[in-house]
Amino acid sequence: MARSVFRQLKITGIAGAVPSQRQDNLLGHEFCPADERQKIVALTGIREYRKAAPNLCTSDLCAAAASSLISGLRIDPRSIDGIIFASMTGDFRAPSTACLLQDRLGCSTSTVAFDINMGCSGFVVGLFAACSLLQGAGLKRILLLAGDTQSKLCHEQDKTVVFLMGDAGTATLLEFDEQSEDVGIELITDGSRFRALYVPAGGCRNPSTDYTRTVRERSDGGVRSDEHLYMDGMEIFRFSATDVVESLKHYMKVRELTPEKVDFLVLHQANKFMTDKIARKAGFPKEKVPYSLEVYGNTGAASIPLTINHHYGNMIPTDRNRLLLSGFGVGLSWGFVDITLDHVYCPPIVEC
Amino acid sequence: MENTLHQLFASTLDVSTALVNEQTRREDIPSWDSLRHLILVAACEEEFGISIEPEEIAEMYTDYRRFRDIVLSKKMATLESRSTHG
Repeated sequence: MARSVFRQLKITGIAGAVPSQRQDNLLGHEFCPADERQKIVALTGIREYRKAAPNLCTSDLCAAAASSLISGLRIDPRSIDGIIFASMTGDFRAPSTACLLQDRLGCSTSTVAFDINMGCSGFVVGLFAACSLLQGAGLKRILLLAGDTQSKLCHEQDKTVVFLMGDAGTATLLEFDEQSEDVGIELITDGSRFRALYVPAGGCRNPSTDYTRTVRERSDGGVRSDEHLYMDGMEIFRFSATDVVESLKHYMKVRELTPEKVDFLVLHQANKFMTDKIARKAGFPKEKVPYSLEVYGNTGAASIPLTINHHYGNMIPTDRNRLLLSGFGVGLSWGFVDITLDHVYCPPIVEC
Repeated sequence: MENTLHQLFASTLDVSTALVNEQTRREDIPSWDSLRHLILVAACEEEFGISIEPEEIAEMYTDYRRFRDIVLSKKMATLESRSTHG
């Protein structure tokens, strides 16, 4: 069972970066009637999101976020022991994008660097790996880079995804700290349902061909090729609002957490209709559930740290806050983290 | 109440009310995709002042009869609860 408690480590800072180009869900997507666009926005809560230009990659966004964090905290990049890049939109099929970022950020060659190929659960899986390196391997300073440019995976006329998926990169610095409170993490995986959310072709199992690149109208109303992201919307809704909720409630029971003991529940920013249901079923009042999706959409692996930064960027966190985080998505993979943030550094979100 | 639901269902899915009856299955209405289904559920929650559970939302995505029965049972439960506490 992947449920662990980590000690003597803390999150020092969380930074975010987004593309400068805005995609307005009400004014854009003209393939869809205006009244339907309004209904979709009212349902999802996503008025707009950021869309990366063709030459802007997830690594560029994560690098911008990392630079903001490193300069703001005035740390030497050579003091970073590990770099983890959590994303499903890396630069190349090989090598790991984390290797490129080691050089780009000016980190030492004695840094361990690797990718975690995960989407919306990428941040919580990345935290698990980072905490394991800090506690188990004795490293002192880890940079977790979580982000996605999902717009590159979506066909621009696929109604099932194009109103939801935004692009962003984040950087989170974790450090050894003797005084810190425990960090609890649980990860869950159900690969039997991977086809509910995946890119069917373009990998080694179904290599790219003219056929897999052909855009076709689908029975679910979407328009895409086999190399675009496919989502079974109802299956993902069912998964998120039932499996994730039940696991969340169980995690809270095991960790003796209640909505009263938690300051903020930070959910993966899937869509507001769904996340409101999850929060309500878990017993959290609206004021304890921060959002960033109204302006950034569903940003995949970036959504939890981006929401924390977006939330703290609008306030001065003078108190210690206990946060409960939940990421869920491709895999299917989901997980929970309970962690105390104490004066975490959250610089303004960078535009690229 | 049933007429209101019938009209709301048809108008949200952009189909004639004549095409929606007890035998209507999801496959019969191409516009009844998962996104429209959630829009429809949200519209029902607002129109009838009810809250539908996620399990029920998935269960309603089968045919009009099941959809209608769940919405109406939710509404009845709300009314009964109000009369008990009112």
